[in-house]
Amino acid sequence: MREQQLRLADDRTARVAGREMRVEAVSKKFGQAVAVDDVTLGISAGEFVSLLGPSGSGKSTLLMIIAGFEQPDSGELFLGGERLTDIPPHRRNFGHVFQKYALFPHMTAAENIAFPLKMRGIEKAKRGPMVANALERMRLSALGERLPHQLSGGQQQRVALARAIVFQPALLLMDEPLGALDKKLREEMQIEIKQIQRELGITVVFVTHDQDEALSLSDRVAVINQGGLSQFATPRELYDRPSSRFVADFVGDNNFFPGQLIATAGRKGQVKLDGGKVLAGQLPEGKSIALGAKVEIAVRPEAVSLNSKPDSRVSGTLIDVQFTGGTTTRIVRHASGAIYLSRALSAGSHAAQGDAVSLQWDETSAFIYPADGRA
Amino acid sequence: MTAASIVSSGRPLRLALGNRRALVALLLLAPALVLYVALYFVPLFDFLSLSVVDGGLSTAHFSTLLDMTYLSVLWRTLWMSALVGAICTALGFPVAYLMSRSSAIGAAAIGACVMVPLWTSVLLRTYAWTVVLQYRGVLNDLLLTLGLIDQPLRFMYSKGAVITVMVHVLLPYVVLPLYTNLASIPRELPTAARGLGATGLRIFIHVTLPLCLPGVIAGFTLVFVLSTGFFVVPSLVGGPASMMVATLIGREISENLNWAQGAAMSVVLLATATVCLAMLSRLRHMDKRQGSAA
Repeated sequence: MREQQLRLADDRTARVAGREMRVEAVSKKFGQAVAVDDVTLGISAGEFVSLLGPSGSGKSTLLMIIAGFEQPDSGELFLGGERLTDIPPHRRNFGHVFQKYALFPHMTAAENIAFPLKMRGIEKAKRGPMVANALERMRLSALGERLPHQLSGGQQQRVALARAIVFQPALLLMDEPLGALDKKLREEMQIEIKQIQRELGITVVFVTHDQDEALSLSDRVAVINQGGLSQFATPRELYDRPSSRFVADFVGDNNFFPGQLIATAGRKGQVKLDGGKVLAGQLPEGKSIALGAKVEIAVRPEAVSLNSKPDSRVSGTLIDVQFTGGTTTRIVRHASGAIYLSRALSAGSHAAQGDAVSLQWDETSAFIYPADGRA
Repeated sequence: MTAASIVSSGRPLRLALGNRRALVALLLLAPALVLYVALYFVPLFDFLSLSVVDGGLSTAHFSTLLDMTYLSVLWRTLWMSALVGAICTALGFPVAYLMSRSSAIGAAAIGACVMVPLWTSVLLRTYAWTVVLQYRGVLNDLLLTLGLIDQPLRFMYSKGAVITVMVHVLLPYVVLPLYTNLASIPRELPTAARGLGATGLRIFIHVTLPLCLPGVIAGFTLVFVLSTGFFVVPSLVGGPASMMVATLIGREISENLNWAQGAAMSVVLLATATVCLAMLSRLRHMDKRQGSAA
């Protein structure tokens, strides 16, 4: 009998862990301000998804809606096919890690971790081993009896994570959880979070404004801008094929060359730059740009090489060479005052500071976007 | 230790600096200290010493206190003060809670409503209550008009009247410390509790209440201590059956002109109140964990 119960519990947790989450056409306004604008996201079971965007982009509000702390004005939420929209947060069975950890200051680390189990009516005898297990997993076994203020920032962070996963949540929500940690600790925690997510097969929604963090941790990244979803793609795709000027600018470094679209042929377009030169580039997928429209060509710094003989391409003066360990970044100032970057593994060009140089790239790495387009 | 190592440790220099700081601190404190000693401690000691001086040293004034009248009045003072403290805490908690959950303007408005009565003298407010509570007073009129009673009731000169008026006077003293405490609880803690599966009532029991316990104890202590020495209210709206120690002391001094006896009563009241205070303070620090919540 008892064994059967245990097995049932296991079945249930197995089914619960790693469920798929669907956000459908969710919008939310605060007064006149649109915080979330018609966002649709399909998060697969066991997937690690980051919501990436500048501060005030609405990514945290979207997380609060998924958590249930905020109600959407319109749209629906589904968890594994079940409608979630009207279920209050305490019945959603989601794990949360908050920005400032939000550990209960009057409870020890172990008591904090036991809290969600207690709220679920799990009896004391069963809580003990579960808490011990969570403490051990987070390498906190020796610190269970400490109060939060007796723990370091990293340790508090691990207690918060243990508390969020101890009850096998259907979804783990994290709101800039590493924001308060220093760089080294941050990187350690990133590895730890990723490892736990893989082991448990848990579905994670992770909010951050740090693109490096989003790219390195996530299976897919949702870029949020002004409340809307700009692009939802794998980190690789996001970097290599940004779908908009905003994403191209926000994720990684980019060079932008303003001009006018003068001809298109399939996915290829010809742009007449403001200086009069004509350059080719790739047009964005699934979007058409009218001929004559103001556009910008974007080229990643690592796709740009420098040629010391000024030629028909964009040219300028090399004003600085920055050595940053693995790579060297060369900074070029155009006659118009615009600054362009070229990045290469340490060898690269031999041009010296003050030299006149021209910028070269393969046209397959040049992308055309409507100028100042939001989406 | 060699002379060189002493010099290099820099300790003499720091010590000198420390002394200077202490001197400055002492000078800054001096005016208040002088006033306090001259106008409070000396007269108090002078008065209290009357209780043991009767020609020579004597405990005569204390042995007379062992009669039942004084002890029963002292006991009544303590339990009525505790009851007033408990009622004030119970009534003040929702007000403080509402204040802590309101916007800055809302909290200021509620705070003003709580504070305004403090600007009116206790004497005036107590007389106002006699208008309400007397035999032909506002409360009896209201109850008669509503048909709830046929005969006016006697509210005045009872324990109930004393407790009602004392609660009214002392309520602000529990609201303010509680509000400060509640406002210092980070907003994300109840949110986190809810996210982790707790309902409203359980959030309150497991998170809010333990975190505001220091404020509850502080508010209760303040009201309790003020109550034990209350004179005006029990004298005006209370009767012989609701007499409190302060009234008894006042009568001993101004009617019987027995200063020594009054001083002895004061010593016992002061000692009892101090013991109660120490116990409450111990309760507050018993759980050292609360330190982090403040």
